[in-house]
Amino acid sequence: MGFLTVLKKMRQKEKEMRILLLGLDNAGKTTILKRFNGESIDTISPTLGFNIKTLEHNGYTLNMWDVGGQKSLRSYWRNYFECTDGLVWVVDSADRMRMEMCKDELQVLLKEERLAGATLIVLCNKQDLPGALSSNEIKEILRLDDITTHHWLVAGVSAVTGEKLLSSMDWLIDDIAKRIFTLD
Amino acid sequence: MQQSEDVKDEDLPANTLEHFAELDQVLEMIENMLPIQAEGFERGFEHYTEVLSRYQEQPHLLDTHLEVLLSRLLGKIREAAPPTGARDAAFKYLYIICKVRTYKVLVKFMPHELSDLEFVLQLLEQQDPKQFENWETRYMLLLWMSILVLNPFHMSRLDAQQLGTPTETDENNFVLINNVNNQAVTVTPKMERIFELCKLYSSTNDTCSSMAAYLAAKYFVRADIKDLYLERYLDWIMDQHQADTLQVKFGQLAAVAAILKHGKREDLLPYADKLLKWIVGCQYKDVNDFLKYKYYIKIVQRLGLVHLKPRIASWRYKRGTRSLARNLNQASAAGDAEVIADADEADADAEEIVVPDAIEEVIEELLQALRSGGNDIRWSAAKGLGRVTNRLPKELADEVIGSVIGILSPLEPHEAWHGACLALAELAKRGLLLPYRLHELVPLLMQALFYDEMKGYMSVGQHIRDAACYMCWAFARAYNPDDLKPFVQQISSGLLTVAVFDREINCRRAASAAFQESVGRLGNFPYGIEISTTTDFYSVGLRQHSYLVISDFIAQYEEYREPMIDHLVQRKVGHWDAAIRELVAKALHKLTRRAPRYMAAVVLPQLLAKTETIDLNARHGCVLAMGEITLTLRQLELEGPGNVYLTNQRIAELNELINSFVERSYYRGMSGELMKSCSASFIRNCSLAQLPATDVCLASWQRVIDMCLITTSSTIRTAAVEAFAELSRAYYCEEKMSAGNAQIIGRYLEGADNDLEEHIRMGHLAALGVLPEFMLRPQLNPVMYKLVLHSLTNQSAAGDHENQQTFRWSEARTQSVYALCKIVQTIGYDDTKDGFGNQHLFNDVVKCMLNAMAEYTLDNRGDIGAWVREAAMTSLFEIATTCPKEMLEEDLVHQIVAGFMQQAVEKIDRTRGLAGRLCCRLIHTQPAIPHIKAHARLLEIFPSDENTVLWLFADNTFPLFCELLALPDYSKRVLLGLCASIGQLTESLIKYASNAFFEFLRSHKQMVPRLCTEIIQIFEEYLLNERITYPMLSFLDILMGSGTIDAVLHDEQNLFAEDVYRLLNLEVKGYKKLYKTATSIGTYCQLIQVPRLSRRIFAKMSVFLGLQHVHVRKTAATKLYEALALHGDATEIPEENMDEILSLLSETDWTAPLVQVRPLRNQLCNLIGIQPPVSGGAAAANKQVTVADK
Repeated sequence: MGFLTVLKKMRQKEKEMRILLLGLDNAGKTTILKRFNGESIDTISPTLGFNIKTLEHNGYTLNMWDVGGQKSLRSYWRNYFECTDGLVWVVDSADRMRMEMCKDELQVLLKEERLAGATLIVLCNKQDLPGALSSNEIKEILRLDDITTHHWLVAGVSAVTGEKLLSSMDWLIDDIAKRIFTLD
Repeated sequence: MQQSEDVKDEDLPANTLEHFAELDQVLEMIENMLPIQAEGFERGFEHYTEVLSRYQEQPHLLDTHLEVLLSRLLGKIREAAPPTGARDAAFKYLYIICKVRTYKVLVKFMPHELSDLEFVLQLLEQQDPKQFENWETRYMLLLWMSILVLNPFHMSRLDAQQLGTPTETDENNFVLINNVNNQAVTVTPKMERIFELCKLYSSTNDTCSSMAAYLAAKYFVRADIKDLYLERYLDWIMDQHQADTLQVKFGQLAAVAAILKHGKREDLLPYADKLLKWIVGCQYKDVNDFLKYKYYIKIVQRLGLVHLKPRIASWRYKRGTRSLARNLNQASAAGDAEVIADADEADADAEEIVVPDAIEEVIEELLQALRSGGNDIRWSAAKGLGRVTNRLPKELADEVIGSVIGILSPLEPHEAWHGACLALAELAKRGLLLPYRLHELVPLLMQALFYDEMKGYMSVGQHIRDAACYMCWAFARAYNPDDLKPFVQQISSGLLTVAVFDREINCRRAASAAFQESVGRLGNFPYGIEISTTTDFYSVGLRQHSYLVISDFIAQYEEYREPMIDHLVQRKVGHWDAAIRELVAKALHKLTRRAPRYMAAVVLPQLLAKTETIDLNARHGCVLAMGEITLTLRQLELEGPGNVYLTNQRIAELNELINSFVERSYYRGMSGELMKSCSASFIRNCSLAQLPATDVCLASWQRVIDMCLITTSSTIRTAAVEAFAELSRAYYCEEKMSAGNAQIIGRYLEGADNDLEEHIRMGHLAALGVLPEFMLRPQLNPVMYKLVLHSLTNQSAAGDHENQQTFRWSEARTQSVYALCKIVQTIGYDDTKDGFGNQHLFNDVVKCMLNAMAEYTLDNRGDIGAWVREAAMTSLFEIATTCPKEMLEEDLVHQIVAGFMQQAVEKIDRTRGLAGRLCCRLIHTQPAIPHIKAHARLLEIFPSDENTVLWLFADNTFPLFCELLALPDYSKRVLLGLCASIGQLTESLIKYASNAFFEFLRSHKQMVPRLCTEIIQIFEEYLLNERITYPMLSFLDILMGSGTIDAVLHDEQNLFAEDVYRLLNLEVKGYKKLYKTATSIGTYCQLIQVPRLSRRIFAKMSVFLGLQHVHVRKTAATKLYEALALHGDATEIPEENMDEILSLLSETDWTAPLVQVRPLRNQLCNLIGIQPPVSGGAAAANKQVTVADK
């Protein structure tokens, strides 16, 4: 083992990112993931458990972890926090009823030590539905401006039309890539 | 990364794969997989392993296909009732993918549906943990399990799933099922079963235990499991490790380490103190077992991390992107464009960090481990120290850094230096080394970069230099360019010096990588871009290249020039490795052109001063370097008349140098050898440089050369000969020297006659060979005839001039042949009495070399005569191609050409290759060599471009030379050579030589009788000369057995067979030489196919069957059996006896005592129909009886 070994390992690892998709149930996490992976989004049932997808994007290998959002599953989200580079928080913009719950869950998450330092992107999904809240409105409700511990961005997207999806992911990857990589 | 991408575009030899090309093949192999106990399993598995292992270095190529590979294999595994062994086979196949792609990546592709949990669990419980053949099954099942336990459901609910369907979606359903479950808990719950499995497998000491540790880490940190099982598990392990340092279960330690790594900090905190107390109590670091210590240190550092809250480096967005490759293009702008905020700012407002007491102990342990003897432990400790310190408050962190820096003291052992450098690199990487430390640290860094200390017979420091490069690399990543600015000059030239001049390849590469990183991230290294493109990973790989080419390139920049030269002079001139010292001298030779004034004014005096040290290496290196520098300086002086670099004083010092060594007796003893070699090089360089030299100086130089010529080391002798050539040419041409010159030649002629030591003779012969023309011409005759005399063995030279010992001195004769050739070249072919235009002298030289080409001396090294033959061929070729063509007499030319041809079909590959190449070249020489017989045909046979033939390969050359058999002028010599090759023991040679030969015979039937006659002539000529006849016996055997000369054998008019029989009898007469006799049997038996001889052969065989040598009897029986089986019907043996004869031959134990064997032999004779032979004694006795009767 020597310096060159460390270098080789780093060069492999710095091309990899671990990204965690979370959010309340029915927010559209799996749809977003499938959309990304170029799979059909016609038949999507609630995620029982979790999905892992590995994709290549902009020269980086993305390990995407998508965990079901049902209430009973939320306490197990912690199983997946390790070594997370980026957190994708998916919001159902039309689900006005549960916005408050959404805010609470996100805030719990952001206090988590093992997610410290991860970049956060809030995807306000289902912008194609009538009555969907805009990303600005959601920013206010979720009180994103109060977040100082994480780099964050909020974006209105639609998994069905694919609107703005790519550009927001590009931002996430770019932000992660911008910081210097240490092997911890 | 960047480099390898660059390289891809160029056509460098490389072994890189582009994509997973064998997918279909592998899928097919999986499809046709056999159960493990089946016969073909192993072969199929090995093949599969081999194919996949090709991707071990580029495993990511498999990524896109992992899904399909896995689904096929898992399909086999999931089959409800697979044939016995099929499942284990599938797991073995799966494991190979896991090995290539690593388990951490593969685990993400394993399915994690809940439905699999029970299946895997059951299968795992059925395994026998001690069964060693199918461990892959357990390994893969444990890995699979580790992703299955990541499911986000309460474990206690899972037991219910057997009842319900796993596709239930509504969370309410789970509650429902849960309720149902509560009523019917009869089986052990899954939670408990997994817990037991973790315990079981982390206690086995095989590969599976590391998988068990991984599983444990995933399982016990679950929110629902930690409360129930974590404490139980940890307590159980602690219990197992109560101060028992012998029966250590590494899997359990690994499991603790893994849990501490993956677990949530707050969950683990309650156990931290207990664990620390326990692990410190185990005496794992005192025992000399690095594996225990490694786990110990891992556990300790992670416990430290559990105690401290993580902190995110506030500066991490300020130091550029992750990968430099993308960054490097805009490198120059990057540094300035960034907004530089004070990195400490964030720390200041961070909340109070509570540091528990345990941390002190952890840090203490880690600091200690930095000094450990195990490399892995030092690495682990260094990383741990970096991580723990990262979470400490500023003052404490600085204190830790202080103690690490404290380790870098001259009193500490090299392990401690290595550990400390690694730790500093890790700390710097995390931005924990505050800039104010740099003043203290950079001088230490420089020490570490050049750390190279002798320890006994080896040197240590390679790992420290490597770690120092790591440190530089970390600096580049963590610091602002401004912080490092004051040190840029030191660090950049230090790194470049290591990149170019380090002895070890990994250090050179490490330094080049660190330099590249610094250039990219800091942007303030002078000429960074230009240099880092030149000193890349590949170009610094070759030491010679980096010393001589890259160093010169870098030295064009003034910033680096003097530091590099200084480094060489201060650190490398006296390096412990002689090869490095030689390279240093050559490098200085080149660098002198870049800085001649500096070299003359500063470096030379420094080197001169060092020649007086008692350090032999330094003295050697200095003398070498001074010679090289002087040479360049003089070259520069001669190039431009205005250039004067060497002052009179300097010249006087250089003149005095060798003499002072002589006076101090530096050439005595073991150390003298090194001094001799460097002095010879020094003298050569000074002579080449035509340095003004005094008579005293010249005398001392000549004296040293004389000393060197008689050493046993051939490299020193060669160096001395080169030095003498230059010395005499540069200084001895003056009139006043001529008396001295004659004396020198006289001395050397005398030395060449030395018959006590071969090397003394060799040195003098070589020196005679390089005499310059003006010295040689007056003495040409004595010198030439001395060389002629010593070129030949005493048999071939005129008269018996020496004792027997010199008979084996083939090396000296080789030297003499080369020397002879050299003096011919020196004098040239002018037509005077003392020139080689004199036909008489010329012929003597050529004849001498022709004789030398016939030397076949053998000793325990084998055919050492081959060296002489090669030398003779090379020299003959030189002379024949350079001399005026009219000097070449017809007879001599023929002998040269025929000699080359013979050598080109003999047995040693190297000699054959040389002969073939030279022969081909000779034939195609322009203007053409006169008198070559059948020249037109030869031009057809041999290709004009000699490179179209692979001369070292028998299958290439033999067909060419066999063509020559058609030319009566050459055929006999070629046959002579062929007989030596075909009659040899080397199988491949026999194969190619005989194939070519027989092919020729078959296609040229009309020539067979002539060739057979020539073979007989050769046999007769060389009768009893075993060098020829021994292979001749086998050659004849193979030839007659091949069927290519049947026409001759069966021709009653042709006496070939009779001649062979007659000569064989003469050759083996008396049966004294066991192996020759045994070899001849085969040849005899081949003659059975000639009806008119067969009776005589049977008589001969019956004698052999009764000889006292067991080996001869056995061989005779076997060969006779074979011959009879083949040619029995051609003989006069009664057909009805044949079966009995054959069974008698094959079933008799011919190794039995003679008394038993002889009656059987006689019986055999009767069956064949010949008189049984009578031994000499018995015959005499018989006679007496007859006489008495009368």
